Amino acid sequence: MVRKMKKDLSNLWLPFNVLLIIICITPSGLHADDAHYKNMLIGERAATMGGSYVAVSDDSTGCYYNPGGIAYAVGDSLSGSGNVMHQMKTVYHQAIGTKDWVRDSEALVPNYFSVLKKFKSYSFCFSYVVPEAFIEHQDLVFENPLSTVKKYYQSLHSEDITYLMGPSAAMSLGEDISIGLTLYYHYRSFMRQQHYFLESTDGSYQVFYESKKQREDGLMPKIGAQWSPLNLFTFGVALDQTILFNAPYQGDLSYHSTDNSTGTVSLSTTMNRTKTELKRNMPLHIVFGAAYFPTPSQLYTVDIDYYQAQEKGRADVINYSGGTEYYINPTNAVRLGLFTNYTNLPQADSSTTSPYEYIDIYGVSFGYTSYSSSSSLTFGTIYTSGTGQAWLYEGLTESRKMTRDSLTFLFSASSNL
Amino acid sequence: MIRLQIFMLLGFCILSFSFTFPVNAHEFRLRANHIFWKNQEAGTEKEIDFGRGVAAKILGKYPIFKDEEKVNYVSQIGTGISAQLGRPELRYYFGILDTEDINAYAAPGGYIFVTTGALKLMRNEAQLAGVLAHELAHIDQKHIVKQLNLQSSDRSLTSGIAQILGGATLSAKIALERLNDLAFKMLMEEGLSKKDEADADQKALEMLISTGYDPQSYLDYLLSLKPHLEQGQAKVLSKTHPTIDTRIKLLSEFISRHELDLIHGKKNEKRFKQFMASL
Repeated sequence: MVRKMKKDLSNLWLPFNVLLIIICITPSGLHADDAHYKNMLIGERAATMGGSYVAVSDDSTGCYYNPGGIAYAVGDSLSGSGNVMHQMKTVYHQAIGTKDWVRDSEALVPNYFSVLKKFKSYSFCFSYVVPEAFIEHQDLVFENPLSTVKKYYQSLHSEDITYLMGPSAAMSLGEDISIGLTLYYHYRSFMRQQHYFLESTDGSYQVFYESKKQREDGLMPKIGAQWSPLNLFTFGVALDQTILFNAPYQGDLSYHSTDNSTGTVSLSTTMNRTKTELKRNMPLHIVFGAAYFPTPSQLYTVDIDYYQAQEKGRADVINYSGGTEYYINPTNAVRLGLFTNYTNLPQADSSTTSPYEYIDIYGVSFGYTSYSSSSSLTFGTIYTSGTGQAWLYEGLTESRKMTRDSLTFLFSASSNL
Repeated sequence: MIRLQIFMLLGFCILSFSFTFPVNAHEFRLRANHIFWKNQEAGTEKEIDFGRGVAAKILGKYPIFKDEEKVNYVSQIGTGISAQLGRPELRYYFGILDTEDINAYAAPGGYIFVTTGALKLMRNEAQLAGVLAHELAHIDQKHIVKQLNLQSSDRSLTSGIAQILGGATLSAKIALERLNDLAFKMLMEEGLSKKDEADADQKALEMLISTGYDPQSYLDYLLSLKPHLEQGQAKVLSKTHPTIDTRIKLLSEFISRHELDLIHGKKNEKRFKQFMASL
């Protein structure tokens, strides 16, 4: 569907060969960034340890990372976290002649809320998670960006937010093994509105407006287990896959242009509505982790996330993450984490349709928690950075260097019940 | 859809399986904050147990005064002041001891007693509040616990009182009884340190100001004690507290230094006399 739309647009733009350079740099596709799986880290301890938590998960955040871990939660708790600020900046170097094209997105999203209750030897939890949230707004004005273009104005607003919510349950299957299940309802809301106006040096005009919206409904079952065969060590494994029930899409497009190139003004108008019901095939996600608890003040953890692609045009991905936690004293703890966020797109080749981006991202996280007898407050920051290549134009010979950096400030609180 | 069904079936099987396995404690998972606060709770429980034993010994020495109206009045004043303290985990109990000896006692864990002799000497509610605040300060600051070296030397993870008095073994019970005797002796004979008494006097003034009582009234009460101490009507107080002149001097300096003499709070003289008229 996406490719078909790109083709439609390309046909519209063909008479304006030069202007294609500008038009193509607008974001396309129906997802803000579905090329990466670890765009937002969830929780307080987990997020500040690079999202490496599958072998720990012994608090309400475990509902998301590994429901098997919540069997070892210390007590009932209520947790909530919000990204105070999530900023992302993508730069396409020399994308418009010698000028860089910069895309910024900002989101202020409370991305985790959960309540955990222990009942005898069982743990129950209900959690709400926002694993993806992109809000992008652009107002671009270019004066004489090319010799044939006098003025180009573009306005773009895009929102893409995924929500997960649902119950979890965990139990022990013996002295050293626990297992748990989370069943998330998946809801995604996507919308993008884009408008541009272009004036050529020969007096021709183009006015373009496009609106896209899509929602997705589905279920994401997650099964997790933890095993502790040795004192001070735990191992965790979790498996999940989102299965979509429906994904209605509607796209509206209108395009008006005048052509003065032949000396006679001609007007062209196109209006189009597209409706589809194509569902994504989400990857199968398996994560393995190990944690080492040498003292009550220290903790080390590593995770390996494997994503098996389920649709054409996607590649399998392995992400790595590791983190450590250190208690300065019983009421103050600091955490550090490192993680990768590799692209799930295959290397570009001659069959690849532009626009196309290939970028691997690396991240570092840091956090501080203050504990009282019944609650905790966490402040943290997550920085990610990556360098890759972007093919912005028709044909794959003209790639551009692209960089992406993001900075997140998070604030979390939890309370014993 | 088939995958979803497989997931759900697998999950159902797992949750249906083994309903009787207990959750392993996995003690090594407990983080420093968990251990610290658990020990704090355990320490508080032991402090209350310990204080209950000391209170029992005080009640063994003096009979309890059984005028419910007066005891309720003292409790109301004391409870109001205790709200100023930073130990919400404690529940405070107030009682009146039926003895002419002028004194007040505080046992760890929240047990406070004032004698009828002391109540007869008082002239207003602010003075009663001051005496109760002084005793509450001893509990809040754990003066007895500290003086008996029940405080852990390593505050990082463990609570000393829980370590020493923990467990249900015979030796732990003997240790508890021994410590009760020492605490009782401290209250009746040896007293707390001069520093702790001065600290309690100053904190009493702060609490009086916070609750709107007249701070000068507490000093007036100490001044009124002087002739009775000289006549031997407060033998225990004489033995267990610094000389009254020292206390008055230190408190006067504190009042002067912080210009507390400019504060004139409530005295509630009429209400106090109404409750204590029949003493």
